[in-house]
Amino acid sequence: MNRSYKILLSLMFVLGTCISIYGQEKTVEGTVVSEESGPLPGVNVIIKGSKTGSLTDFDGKYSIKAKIGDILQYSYVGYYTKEIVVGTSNIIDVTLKVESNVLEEVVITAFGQTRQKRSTGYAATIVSAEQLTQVTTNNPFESLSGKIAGVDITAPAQPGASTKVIIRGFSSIKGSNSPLYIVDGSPINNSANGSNSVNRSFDGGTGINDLDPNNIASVNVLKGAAATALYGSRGSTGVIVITTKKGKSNSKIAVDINSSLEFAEVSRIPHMQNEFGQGWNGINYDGLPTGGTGASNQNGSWGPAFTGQIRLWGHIVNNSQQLKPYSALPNNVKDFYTIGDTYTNSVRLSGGGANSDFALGFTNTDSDGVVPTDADGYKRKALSFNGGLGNDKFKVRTAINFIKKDQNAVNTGQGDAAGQGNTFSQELIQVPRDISILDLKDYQNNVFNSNDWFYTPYASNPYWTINENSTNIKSNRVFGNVNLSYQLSSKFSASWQMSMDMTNQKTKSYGAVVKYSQGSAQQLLGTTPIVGGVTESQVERLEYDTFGVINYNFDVNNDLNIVANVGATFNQRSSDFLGATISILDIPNYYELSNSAVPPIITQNNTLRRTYGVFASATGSYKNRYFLSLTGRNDWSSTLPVANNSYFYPSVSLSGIVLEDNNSFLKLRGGFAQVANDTNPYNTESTLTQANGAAYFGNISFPIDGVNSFELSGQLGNNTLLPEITTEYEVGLEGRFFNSRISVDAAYYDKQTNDLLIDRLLPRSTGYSQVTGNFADVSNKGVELLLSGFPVRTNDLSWEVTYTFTKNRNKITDLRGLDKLLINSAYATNFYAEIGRPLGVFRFAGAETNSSGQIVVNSGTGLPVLGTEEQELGTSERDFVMGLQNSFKYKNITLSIGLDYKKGGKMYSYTNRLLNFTGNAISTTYNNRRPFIIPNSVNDNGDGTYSENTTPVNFAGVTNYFGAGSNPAYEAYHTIDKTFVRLRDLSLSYVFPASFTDKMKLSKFSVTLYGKNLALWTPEENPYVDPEISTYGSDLASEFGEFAGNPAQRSYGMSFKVSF
Amino acid sequence: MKKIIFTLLSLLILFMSCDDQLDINRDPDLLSPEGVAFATELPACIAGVAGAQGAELAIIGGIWSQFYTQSPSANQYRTVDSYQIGSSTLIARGPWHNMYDALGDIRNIKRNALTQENWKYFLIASVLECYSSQILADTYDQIPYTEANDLTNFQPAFNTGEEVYDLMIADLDAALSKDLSASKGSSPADDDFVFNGDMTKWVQFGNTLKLRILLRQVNARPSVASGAGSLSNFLSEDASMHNFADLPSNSNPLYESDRRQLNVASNLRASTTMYSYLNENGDDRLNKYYGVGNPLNQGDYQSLDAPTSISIVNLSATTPVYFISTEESLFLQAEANLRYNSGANTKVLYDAAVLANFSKWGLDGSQYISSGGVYEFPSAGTFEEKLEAIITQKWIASFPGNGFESFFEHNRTGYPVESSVPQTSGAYVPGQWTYSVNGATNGAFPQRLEWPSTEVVRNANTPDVISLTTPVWWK
Repeated sequence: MNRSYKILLSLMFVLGTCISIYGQEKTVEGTVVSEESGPLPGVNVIIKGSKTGSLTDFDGKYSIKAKIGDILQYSYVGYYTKEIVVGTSNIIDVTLKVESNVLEEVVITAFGQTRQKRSTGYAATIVSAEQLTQVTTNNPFESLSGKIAGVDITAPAQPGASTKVIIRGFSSIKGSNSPLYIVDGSPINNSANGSNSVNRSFDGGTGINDLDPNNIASVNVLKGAAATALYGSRGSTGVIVITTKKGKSNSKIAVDINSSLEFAEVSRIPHMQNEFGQGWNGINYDGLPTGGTGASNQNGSWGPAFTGQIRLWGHIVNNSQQLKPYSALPNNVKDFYTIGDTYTNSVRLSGGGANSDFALGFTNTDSDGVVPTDADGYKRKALSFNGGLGNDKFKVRTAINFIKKDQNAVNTGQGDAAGQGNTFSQELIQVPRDISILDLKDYQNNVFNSNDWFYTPYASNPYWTINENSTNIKSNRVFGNVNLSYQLSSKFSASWQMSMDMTNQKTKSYGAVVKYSQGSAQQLLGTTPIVGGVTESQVERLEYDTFGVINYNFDVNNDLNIVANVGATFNQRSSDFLGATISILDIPNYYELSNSAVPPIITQNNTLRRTYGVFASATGSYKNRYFLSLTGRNDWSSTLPVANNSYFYPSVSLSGIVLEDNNSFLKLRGGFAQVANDTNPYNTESTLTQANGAAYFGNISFPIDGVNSFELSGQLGNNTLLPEITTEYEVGLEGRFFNSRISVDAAYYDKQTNDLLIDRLLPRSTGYSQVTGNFADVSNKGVELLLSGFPVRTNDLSWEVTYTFTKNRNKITDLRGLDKLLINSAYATNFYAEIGRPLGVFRFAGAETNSSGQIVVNSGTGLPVLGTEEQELGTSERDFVMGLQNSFKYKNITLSIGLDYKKGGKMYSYTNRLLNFTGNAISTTYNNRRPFIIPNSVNDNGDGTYSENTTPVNFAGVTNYFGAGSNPAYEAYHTIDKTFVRLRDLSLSYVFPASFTDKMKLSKFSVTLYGKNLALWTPEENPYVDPEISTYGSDLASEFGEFAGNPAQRSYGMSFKVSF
Repeated sequence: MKKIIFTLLSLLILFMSCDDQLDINRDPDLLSPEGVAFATELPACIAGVAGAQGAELAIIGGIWSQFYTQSPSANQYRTVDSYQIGSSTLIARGPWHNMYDALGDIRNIKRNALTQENWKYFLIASVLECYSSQILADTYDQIPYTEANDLTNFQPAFNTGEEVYDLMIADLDAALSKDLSASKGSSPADDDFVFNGDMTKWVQFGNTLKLRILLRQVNARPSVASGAGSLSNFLSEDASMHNFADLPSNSNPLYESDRRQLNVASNLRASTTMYSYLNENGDDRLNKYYGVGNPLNQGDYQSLDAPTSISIVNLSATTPVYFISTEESLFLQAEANLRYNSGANTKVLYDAAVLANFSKWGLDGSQYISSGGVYEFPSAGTFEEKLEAIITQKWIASFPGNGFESFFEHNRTGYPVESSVPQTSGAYVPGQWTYSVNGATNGAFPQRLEWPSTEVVRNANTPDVISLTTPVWWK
């Protein structure tokens, strides 16, 4: 500390003290210290009920004239206010307690700069390390759902699967809607690992899954454009700024150990009917075709009602057959799952000398989910180092992270007999209600469970699928940065930072060969054998980012301060993918690329993109109460046409603290900003790809017969691309009232994104399937609100309630002449971006209706006639998202409960489709499966008139009614309400008292018991799935819903935190 | 230190002025379309058309031509068999998507060949263009033709079926009139999967296609159709893609899609219609077409018969995809001869056609057409009896993958005739087409496909929906 500065400061305090001296009674003196960090300068000391006051000086000392019996009130922003009655003593020393939520009132802005939160003109939410690790998670964002207003976070279903984070609604259709993640000032890669489609797919998480929650000191969520404009293009969907843990200088080496053990069980599995068993069309073995091999071979529960009678079932093998009671097994699916476990162990060493600090951390996570075997195992080792060195002028800091991951993913989607076989979830939910799945486990010794004699040709043994097929992802990742900074003069400083993020990842997936022996049931029934296959791929992703910035900080006078900076940045991202797939395996159980007579299919994909940017910003503050910020940035992007690759965008924000006294604080803020965004590489030029003749479920691929060929790619190049521009206005307020017993943070924003880059799907008569271009405008308007308060706050007991509310209204405002654009689809359900509507709208051409809205049915079958006009089934947009946290603290015990409520919006569910088809769904027990006439139905007389329908859906036809294959109109019911309320987490922790820890020579010791995803309520319309699971990744397409997704899990754990 | 930082910053700015650093937006893994050789793109065109007609259309055509029907123990093609195919299912969209995808490359070759005066590739591209456009026009009636596959036009206008027919004839005439000996640049060779570069056969393919286009108009425009009488130099061998192998994604597309890619390879079962006709006539093709078991009445996919008792359709991975087969060429010639050349040569052409099809299955068909044989040409019969014989045999010869052609021909000629009784009736005449047991169109047979929902949504010029049961313009 500079000596002259110290004197100056002391003088100022003395001056302040002088002004406030009035009375003559007696002089009370003392020192105000913080519980954590020693003497507190600038604490307001006043006599309650008067205007008499004083401030503490730099050493926390104060003096004030007061009478005996006066109440002295000590208040300081970020601390609980304390009141003490003046007694006979002239010396009163005071210790203030930190108010936990408002301590870290520093917001990190772009390029390593920090600002006091009080000065910002935009919404920013700060999440502390304590909040992040209250319950142990694999992924830092897993537990934050409902805790940050304006952000919709969807937790992953399995260990290592992806988390969807959407800030202030969807503003991109083609590009990513994920926020930009900045770790210690530099961007990191958040690419998705996995494949998402209706075909065999898997979710291997995204780049942020590699972050170790134990290594995070704080997370700042910057929501609007005014907050993110300086971050450049990728900030247009919000920025999440993560700061990793650092050591403290001038401290001895500290050791922190976190250890947790967690058990998981399957949470939502479909609720199913328990009245009808195996069979089809209402009958089972009594009259069913069997091909001479046994009893019912159906993969559904369309048989008669349960009787409890002991019956033969399955195929006849060697003149023997199985026996079981014909009665429901309500938990047959649940019983299939096992108890998962997760061990997380973390050690951190930190400390520092006078001019240096360091932190070294290691976390080992070893998790196995609820699917039997280690098919959903997840292992991660994360090593991190953060260190700084420097003197008054020159500082060097570096942060390096190394992550090694070994993950198994359970495949979702639809299986492929011509490749790597079936997927597990799809097989599991087709099992009739009376068949014990657990008893299917042994398919090696029990011939009835073998592939040859499995009870149905239409599905396969789920144990086979889990045991014999596999998808494994292994990756090594290094990311980190080096920052050099130099204090050029008292006003100027400069810094330069360089970062790299490199991932090498190998994926191996295989499926076993299934051949049916001659004369076996499956062979006789014509089940397609599975040829088996192997896919191996490697990808290297590299991101290089650098920036240099010169800062200027100047006090014009006592009231006016200016902070400005100017700088330049460069970013390069590249990827290099190489993969090979073989099918038709020769030798069973051998999964290498050499194991096929068929040549492998090689896939190769390289990408490279670069962005340059220059930027400047300036913030003026007046009396540390009124703040004005201006920023501007110009980017040049390689993904836009060369002639058109430069774009500029500005921002301005204003804030003022209109009320600040001992009890209250109120800040009003407002901002306007633009952010421009580029697109993915390689959309500007047309290309030729290796030829492929599409043929329904097959292809004619090249080379064929020794000849190779190329064809025009379906993607038409567009050399007139422009950047997409988001313009956002936001106003908000932050307040703390009644001595911080009540806090509020509210924002309203209006965000318009123009010239949205989208893949416009072209009519196929053009010969192309799509072109990327600026074809849409979309608006997002919304409110976000955070309210918190302490209904009870005493020295020993406190109860804190935090409530968040988020409502976003999205609307497509222009589609350049089109009225809708397809985003995703499954079977005949389409998901559109539609003019005047939110993203996206579900539509389906369902049952034909006449002008009075009556359903037209076929007079022969009684089933609905399919109409040609698509009808709307709803949109995926939520009405609102809310979260409620309650935290009770009694002495050293804290109990926290987090609830999450997401209301409204629709999703597509294939699980629903399959369960209705197989008759396992509760809905299929409608009318006790007796024949029925579709209510309010008519027959088409063929002459424009309709007559009342009298044809019932007959006994056998009831099965067809619920199967979308035979009654396509039923498809409309596969789009369901995704509302839910979830008991997200509950934790109980105990911090051992100092008396104990001191004895043990520990500085801190705490134990926490916790549970995650403890309960889920969904509306009656959705007995099927956890509405937060998706098999379509973590962006806009995932809003469509799920296609044979895996279930989520519920966990219970215990963690220990020890520091010494 | 100041110096270092300023140097770094100015270096960054220097970097920025360098456009080369940003001119990198070209996918290194893909080819640029400029100057691509014809031989590089032609195989894609042929395989594209083969894929487009050989899977979805083959299945729809085969079910609607009553070669086969949906198995009761599976579900894949129920919407086809019940005439509820709609406009948004994969199978309903596929023919349109895949044909126009192939046409993109075909028309690219045609444009470039015209500029370069390479008349050989110009002819090949023109024949493929008209061949695939006729399938589209016969399936959907109005289609974009003049404005299709134009990369500057995202909303191609539709031509009426009649316009498309006239344009196809004009385009074929333009290509056939070029002097092939004056063709500049490369000549097709092994890139020509159909004729291995034999241009005389492409001329014959063009002529035979003209014959088919003209004959299709006998009802709608008899005077235009009569031009068929003056054509000559037709195909005497198959125009086909025939280099398939029993390997994934290298197989006959019907086999690949139905047998290799679906998890149940028994969706397609013998239809009583075709089965009963072959059986009635002791036709040895029966055992070639179908596996053991009984046939299933058309569309009776809710039958309670044991699945193992129902005959499965035989398909092979190496069956060629026929564009116009030898026998189809002969059947077309026979009909033209019957209509416009006094029928003098009709029997010879008919007999040759029937024999050609039997020999495809390794069978000798001579006993069937000989005097007193079941398929003897009714030389003494009426015009309609002769036409019925030709079209019926063409129907049988369209098995397994060309059912769409026999479906069009049925709609044009009414043969095979439609039964007035269901197949369960004792009065059912073998071979007569019956309305699907689960048909959802009140007794009306399908006549066309609806425009795919993708086109309806993306192309504002798409006409209003026309029902599946409304005939196309030439009926």
